[in-house]
Amino acid sequence: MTVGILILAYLFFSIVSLLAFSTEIKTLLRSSVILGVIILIFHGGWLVERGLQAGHWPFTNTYETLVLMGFLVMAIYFLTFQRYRTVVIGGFAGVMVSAVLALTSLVSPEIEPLVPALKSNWLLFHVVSAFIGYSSFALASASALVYLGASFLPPAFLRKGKDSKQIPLFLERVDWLTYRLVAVGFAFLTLGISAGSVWANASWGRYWNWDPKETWAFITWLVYAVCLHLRSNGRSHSRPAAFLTLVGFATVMFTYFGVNVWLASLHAYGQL
Amino acid sequence: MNPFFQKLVLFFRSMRFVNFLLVVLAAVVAFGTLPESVKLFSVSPQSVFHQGWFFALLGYLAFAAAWYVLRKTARLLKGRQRQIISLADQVSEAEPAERFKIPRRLTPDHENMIARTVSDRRYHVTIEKNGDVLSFFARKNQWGRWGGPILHAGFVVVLLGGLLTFLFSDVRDVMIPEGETVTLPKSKTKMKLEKFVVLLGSHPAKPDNYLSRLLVERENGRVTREDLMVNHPLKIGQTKMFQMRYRVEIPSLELLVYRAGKAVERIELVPKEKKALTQFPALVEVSEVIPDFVMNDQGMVSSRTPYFRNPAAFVSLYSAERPDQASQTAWAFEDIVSHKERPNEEWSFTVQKIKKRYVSGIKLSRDPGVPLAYAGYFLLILGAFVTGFVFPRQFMLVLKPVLTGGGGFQVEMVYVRSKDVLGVQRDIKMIKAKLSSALGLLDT
Repeated sequence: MTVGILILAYLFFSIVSLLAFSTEIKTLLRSSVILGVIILIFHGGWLVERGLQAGHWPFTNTYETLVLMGFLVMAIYFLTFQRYRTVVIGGFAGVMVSAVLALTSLVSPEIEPLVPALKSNWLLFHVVSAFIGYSSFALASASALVYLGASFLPPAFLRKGKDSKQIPLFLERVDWLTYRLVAVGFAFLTLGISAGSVWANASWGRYWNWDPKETWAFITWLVYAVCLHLRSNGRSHSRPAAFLTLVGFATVMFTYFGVNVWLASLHAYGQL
Repeated sequence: MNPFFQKLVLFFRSMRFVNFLLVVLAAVVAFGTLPESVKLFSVSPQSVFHQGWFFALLGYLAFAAAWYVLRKTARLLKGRQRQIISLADQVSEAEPAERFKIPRRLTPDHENMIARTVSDRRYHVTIEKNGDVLSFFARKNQWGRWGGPILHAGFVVVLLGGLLTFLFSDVRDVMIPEGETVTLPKSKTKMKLEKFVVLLGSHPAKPDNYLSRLLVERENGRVTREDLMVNHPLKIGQTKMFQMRYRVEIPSLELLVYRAGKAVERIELVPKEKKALTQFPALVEVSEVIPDFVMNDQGMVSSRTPYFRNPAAFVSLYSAERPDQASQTAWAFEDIVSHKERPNEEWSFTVQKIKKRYVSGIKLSRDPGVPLAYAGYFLLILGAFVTGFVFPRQFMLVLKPVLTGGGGFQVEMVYVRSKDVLGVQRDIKMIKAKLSSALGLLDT
């Protein structure tokens, strides 16, 4: 029920944000921000309540991590909005979070006690870091999508009612935002993988097992490393980097879901 | 050098080639996660991680990263020695941002005010006077330039740790039954599993932890009692121990045999072995033991949890004439359970005692690569955060006297092209706005 309300609320937020972007009406812009913050507070409150009910951090199974990821995507969006004012990203982020929350219908919402391997302080560190990374990448992919859309659309279509100088500035801002989100996500993914590795050493006796989950996290890390390399030499590789950001997010999604479904992993926690 | 070789060397040193190798590495390790049945050029997925060419690939990437670290570190150290000149050196990369006029003479107070306005934005300001031309060199977050080298150094150190692990680590799994002693590898330390316990909590299916109580006799003869639990490894000498899995062995169990509702015989059995009753011409066999049973409406028995709370044994009874075909089968419990769907049969059984022995799965690890790998992780994290959050910014504010048209000063603000162009442009705009309100600027 709560998830259903959140999905509808985020879709509504998304519509308001996209309208605010296309019409440039300030009231709509303000409404989108206020609405988004209210939904985010409600979302965060629900996460806290679930944690209190479960008696442990509320991100120990797929259901809880999906809800956490949705929350983090919106929280990071508002952090970026504070500086860059790119409301269009909020429109895409709203749709993305709704889709992420809709996925919770495929998994069990039951609150389960933790298996012994998960009873560790590294859980907080590892999962939260990884999901801040994933959420940054999700937002980066929304930003990359906006960049690619804007850079491929006919200029006449974009210029409607706007100063012609605004378009390159907007593209530059979105491109920079994509880069920043990838860089932030990369830092947190690095922290998440490292924390997971230290935890694996404490729990399974090896810091690297080439287990499918950790291998795919490493693949994600490599894809984003290439993405960052593309921008490191000062030359403009905005379009390939934006494409690669989207590829990177597909890798994130495979690491998150695909591995659980198709590959046998130590992270399944069917047994110790 | 031959131009062809020069081009070849340049290609191998290029970022494009490194990116290509990173993509190849990603593809190779992705192949390594496929099921073992998949084979490519007779290479099975898991074996790719032990192939020579895989190590060569990692080795090349480590070499490229190390080369980058050396080159970049040398350049950064050189740049520190030439603090002021370095910005002027990069003037070819500088981009004009703002050009305006100050319509008045400047006093030293004004110059100090300009320096203060710039440093209020957390810039480190260096002033240089060359005749009538006054230059303010502003830079901030310069340490952000170290992010790349630190990150790449971390990558190299992690790979070195991995190499040490691959070459010198000794990781093995041992299954120790309760009451038995093992000697730790490459050591004279002995370890006896006194007791294994599944620590159960409030949830019927999820234990709180697994605990192995060990009696350890060290090389120096000291004997201690140690508890090993999941997520709480134990270090004895150079060997680290980790609680992993467990299994339960049932050496024997005791049944009470009833005939027509009366207890007639007590019998001790080894699971899956037939044993003859002493008073009757019949044999009894227990083929399965369930630690915690549950029974449905139809009287079907199934396992609820793997923990010994409510055991059940599947008993088969054979007549002495036909020992190959069971004449009766039944589940036996700690009490007699009759079920409405199953009529009372001639023979029934109860479980009196189950002798069980836990076998604890412990991982023993001597891995000299761990400290290096951890140091590498630290550098990777530090480098990634510095790269992701600290962006160096540099700009130059030049004041030139205007000799015509009422005098005053011409101001030019140029910045060095960096990743954070928007940030430096924002700073320059803010500084200009502050100067404008204080000095009354004119755009030109």
